[in-house]
Amino acid sequence: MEVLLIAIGGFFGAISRYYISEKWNRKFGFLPYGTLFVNLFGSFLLGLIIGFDTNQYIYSLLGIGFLGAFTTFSTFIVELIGLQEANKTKGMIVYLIITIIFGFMFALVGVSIGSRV
Amino acid sequence: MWIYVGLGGIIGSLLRYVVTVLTVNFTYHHFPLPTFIVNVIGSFLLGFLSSYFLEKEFRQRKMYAAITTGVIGSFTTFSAFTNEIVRFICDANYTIGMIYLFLSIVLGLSFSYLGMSMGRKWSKNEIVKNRQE
Repeated sequence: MEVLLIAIGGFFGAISRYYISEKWNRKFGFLPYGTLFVNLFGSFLLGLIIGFDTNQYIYSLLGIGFLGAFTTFSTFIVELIGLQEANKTKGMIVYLIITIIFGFMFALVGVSIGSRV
Repeated sequence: MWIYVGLGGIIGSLLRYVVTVLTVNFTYHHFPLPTFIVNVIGSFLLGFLSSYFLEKEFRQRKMYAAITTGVIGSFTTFSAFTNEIVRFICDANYTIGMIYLFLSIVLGLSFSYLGMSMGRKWSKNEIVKNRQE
């Protein structure tokens, strides 16, 4: 059951990320805003689910499956290197710091909202 | 295209789950080993594939998107990573939290670089080999 829920969540999570990054990553020149959006928003939503302390099935479907696939670490890392190799070291540092600090803050806000609902 | 990415997402998510099940007994001081492993391995693989197929002018775009955006994008995860750091901070485990954060970024970048240079080398070797034949 858990495996099935993770698979369903992963299917929709990957498609949603693909859709958002196709739309936003190339639209603005400076940073890959699509990846930034999925990672920050996904961190917030996972925090919400963790704070809410939902049951195991919903956590497998939405937490491990959907949000696990919706957010991505590898693309973030490869984009950082891409910025650096395009001589946009400043962009690389800005992208790194924004993703980490805001990702943490969004998760924290999610957890505190979730645990109060 | 989206269906290929979705199917890749199923494979990537299930592989991430397999890593979680396999490493659950090796956790040390609440260090999130599963997320750490998938993120570092995934960074290496995405680095490798992106440079390998860039050089080879990969024509099967659907397969490429299914593997990179689908499988590897879903295998690695950022939401678990940030929420694990929140957990460390809330539990006042600042040192392990900082080590986890630092190691994930530094090793992610290093392994991705390694993957990229390997990918470049492999595809160049193949191009040279194909010309010689």
